[in-house]
Amino acid sequence: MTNKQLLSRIAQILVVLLGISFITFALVMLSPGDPVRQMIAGNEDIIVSQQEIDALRHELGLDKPFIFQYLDWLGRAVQGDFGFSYMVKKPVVEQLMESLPATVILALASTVFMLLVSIPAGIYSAVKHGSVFDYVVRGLTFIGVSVPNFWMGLMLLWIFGLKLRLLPIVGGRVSLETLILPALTLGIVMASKFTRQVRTAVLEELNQDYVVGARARGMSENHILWKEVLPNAMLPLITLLGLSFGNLLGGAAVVEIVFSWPGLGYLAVQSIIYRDFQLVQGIVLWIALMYMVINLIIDASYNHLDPRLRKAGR
Amino acid sequence: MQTLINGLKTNRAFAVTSFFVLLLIAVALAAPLIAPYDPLEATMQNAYLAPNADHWFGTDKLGRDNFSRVLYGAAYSLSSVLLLVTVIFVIGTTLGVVAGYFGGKVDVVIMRVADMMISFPGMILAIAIAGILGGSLINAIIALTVVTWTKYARLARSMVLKVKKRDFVEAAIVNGGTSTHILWKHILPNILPLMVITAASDIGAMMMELAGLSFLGFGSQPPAPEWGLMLNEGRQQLQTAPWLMIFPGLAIFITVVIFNLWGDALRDVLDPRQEE
Amino acid sequence: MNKAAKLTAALAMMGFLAFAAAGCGDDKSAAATGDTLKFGVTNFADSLEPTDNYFGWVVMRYGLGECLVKFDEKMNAVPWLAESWSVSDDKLTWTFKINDKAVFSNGNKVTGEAVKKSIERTFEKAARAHAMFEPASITADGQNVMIKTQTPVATLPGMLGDPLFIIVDTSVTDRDYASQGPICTGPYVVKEYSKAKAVMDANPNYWDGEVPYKHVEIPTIDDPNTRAMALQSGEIDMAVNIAPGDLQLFEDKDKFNVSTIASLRDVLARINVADGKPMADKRLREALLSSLDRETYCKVLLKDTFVPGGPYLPPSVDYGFDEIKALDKNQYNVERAKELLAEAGWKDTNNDGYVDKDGKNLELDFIFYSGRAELPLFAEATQADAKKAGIKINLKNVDYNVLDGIGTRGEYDLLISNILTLAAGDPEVFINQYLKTNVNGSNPQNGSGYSNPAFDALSDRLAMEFDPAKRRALIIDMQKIIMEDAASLVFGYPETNMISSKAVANAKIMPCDYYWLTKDVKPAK
Repeated sequence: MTNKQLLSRIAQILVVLLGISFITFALVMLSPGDPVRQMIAGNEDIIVSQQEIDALRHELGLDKPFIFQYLDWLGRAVQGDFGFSYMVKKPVVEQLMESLPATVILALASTVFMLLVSIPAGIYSAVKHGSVFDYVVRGLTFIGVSVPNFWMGLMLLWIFGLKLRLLPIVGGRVSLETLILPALTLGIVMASKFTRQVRTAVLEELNQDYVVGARARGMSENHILWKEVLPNAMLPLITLLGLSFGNLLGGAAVVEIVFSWPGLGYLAVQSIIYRDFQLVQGIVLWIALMYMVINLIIDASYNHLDPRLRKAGR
Repeated sequence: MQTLINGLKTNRAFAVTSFFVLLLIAVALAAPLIAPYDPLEATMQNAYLAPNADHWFGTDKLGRDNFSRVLYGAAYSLSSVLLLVTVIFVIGTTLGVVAGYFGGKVDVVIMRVADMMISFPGMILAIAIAGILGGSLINAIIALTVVTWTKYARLARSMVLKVKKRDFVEAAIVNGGTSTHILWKHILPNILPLMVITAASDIGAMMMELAGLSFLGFGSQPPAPEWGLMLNEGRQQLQTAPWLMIFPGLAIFITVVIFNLWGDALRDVLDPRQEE
Repeated sequence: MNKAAKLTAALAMMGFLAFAAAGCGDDKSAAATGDTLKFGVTNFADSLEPTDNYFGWVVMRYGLGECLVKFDEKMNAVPWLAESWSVSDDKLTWTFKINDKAVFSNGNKVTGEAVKKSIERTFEKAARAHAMFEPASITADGQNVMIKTQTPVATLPGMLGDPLFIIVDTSVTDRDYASQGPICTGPYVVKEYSKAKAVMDANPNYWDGEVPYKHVEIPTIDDPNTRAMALQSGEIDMAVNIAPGDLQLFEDKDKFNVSTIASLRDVLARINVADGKPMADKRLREALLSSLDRETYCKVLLKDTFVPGGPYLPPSVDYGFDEIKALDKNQYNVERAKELLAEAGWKDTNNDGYVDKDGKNLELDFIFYSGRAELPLFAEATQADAKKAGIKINLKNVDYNVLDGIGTRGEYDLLISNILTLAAGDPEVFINQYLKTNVNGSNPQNGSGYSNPAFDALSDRLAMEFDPAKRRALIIDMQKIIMEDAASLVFGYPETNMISSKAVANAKIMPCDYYWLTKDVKPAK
């Protein structure tokens, strides 16, 4: 990737961010719902006077016209100030940084699980395609991609947390024991998808002419697999890996909710329920940014890794 | 159409899965005949009964028959997911065809928007949209449409660009055929099979996403017997009435499996070249 | 490096990072020992500033702050930091005598002067305090505090029991009240506070006896089912508000203590009786009420965790519950409902299962929110039962935040909420709020169009009445009018609960939900 291409990609990212910020802002403003009452007394159903509500609304600047609120926000955002979350009473950036580690840990753990399972399983079932092992793998992965992740999460919680009492049920904190179930839930679903992709990629390479040629030249199957086939098959998989990792960093909201895992997805759902628009805005932008940057890095490294593409100058 | 019929004759997987799809639809349509109870009929004295001879899947918080609700849920969940896929298919394909065929500014605008949407993790945006608009089935469909149409638009556009270069289309353009005529007669028939395959294999995934939104409370609303919503309600009784969570979940799972298998088989039949 | 090696390295790196990160995050805490209490709660407060919003509730619930008075099981104001009080003959000056033993957690003595400063701080910071009463002057003399009001305020001691008036040490100025909490007098002091979790230590200077636990951890577990599971698995020792459906999990008396009590709350639906709305016709209101089997909702669906509704005020407060209940003509009776509908001219002429008149079905919009588990349940049960009488109920699930607006604008036929009936130990505000006539915005909370001059007259007399017995009589009469007019649909009165493992003694829930963690909650012997 040339510097020029890189610059234009970065410019594109900025435009997208601007567009997304406007859309989210407009959505929040269009939506029914008033955060102010919730801020005063939560769901306690206490009699709250209109004066109390109006005073707080004014204090927060929520009584100004939409476009002014947006411009206000944008003006500060450009300077790196993404506002203040009234849900958590903290600057938005600070809260994002607090929720980020949980999401990164969950994303890494489930990705590692996925790779540990799907790479060996995918390769082996491609090499032995048509075997019993291959059928079993294909059957299991098929089941894996057809289970709604939240349902699988609930069932795991029910079995391991409740029936077997092996793992804690209360989430809300980041620790090894609370990590296992959400990582497993995400990992199983992702591994099912990825195993299929690994299998397809390896199978495709195995059918290439050069493999036939190498066999004809009497090279050992092991040599062909490890030195020729795998390196080539892995390249397209990196893109897929990057995409799914990017998606995970966006917070696997549903799974985070099921396990009360305090990451970005959980925060996103909470902030939407609370109509904490500064925070919603911050999360959405942050997720978009991470996703796009990861894609950029993947594309760049892809070019770097694949000599054919590098020579072609694409 | 002829290919489909041939497929049924020659491709056993397609024949079998098609049978299951039809069976599923038949169950959905016949729910009023099969279901032993009205899914909304509350016999409150019977709340939270465990599965038994009268209530195969137990009863829920209002004493409604869970088996009947799961059956009716088939009609409800299937029709909403089919509506969703149709909406996405129509909007996405139309925009993609328009962008690809007319090119120029229209193309730039549509594809820029599509780029923007695609550079974003879908589910979180769907949650944001559905959550902010407020929970309802329609809003959930809108949200998922907004985040999914781009896939169809891109696919349709690239295929239109390919088809446009073929001789017969170029000939039609040179001969002064109207755009409408060319689009309907030459372009659509050529791109439709692959678009339909894509839509068919998306049904399972869309069903899970729609159920996910309902599960978070951003989709269907009570008392609708929708599977995602039933799971959301069942979750509250995870300990005391696990049957409320197990059966709707199984229903989603089985339906998704059937549609995924069918989608794969349909691809084999309509598009044997396996171009991905 | 060749490609494969690079890939392997990259993957290994990721794996390493994941485990490193997971390892760092592992703060596996010791299982509950005799020193530490773990208490699962719901929490809405993101700060411990007691004058901010209703956050004082949390300061009090967590055993941090105390008031001059507290409420006993019958909601009478009884001594706490104040050992006694009296009112002058002109009913304007109240004198509170502060307990001589009382000290703040930093060791400073709670003097009359300190209390005066604390009350003044509340008035300075909280608009809501001014809505309760307006002090003309506050003076201190040794351990006495004198509060003089401009007009007589009969319920003043009760008002000072509101957590808004938690006594704080105003001489300490270098604290961040939001995260550290104020210096108060309760058995525990804050070590760490966030909305998600509070960690507290025993107050070394506690004035009122031994503090039973060295440490208390209070994780916020907003989901009631998760709370129940955590209590079962022993991750927490004590929890509040376990969902009705989960109570049966704690029946084992050898493992758990269950404390339940009728709360001071109503679950009621406001009925919009404005002109043009179907419910303007009293017969239709009676028909609706008669069609609903509220007894079954409370006993079966909610597993006896609610008392079935009728009178406007709950049985937990002493305002003639049984007497008014006996007057209820609209007990469950579907036949009566059908007769009333027919009498009002509504019949099912097109056989669609719903009664109609002039070609239109009888349809009612029922607004609810799902923040509390029982509300959707009552809403759905109403829909199912009303259908049996031929009334069509359209459920509308709204965001909790928009509820007030819908209520004041009258955009509903039925609007359900779970609401606290007493403020400062008195129901006057509550009984007026939805039902006193709203003339040009004089009572915006009444968006229902309900207006009954007899009710308003009683309400005006109540505002001027100081004698407790006469106040009680007036409130009973007002409730009779509400009952007679079928002006409100009271579904039931929730019980509230606190469940603790056998390792904990004296965990007891009170009707007034300001008191959760108290000095009396201690390790079981």
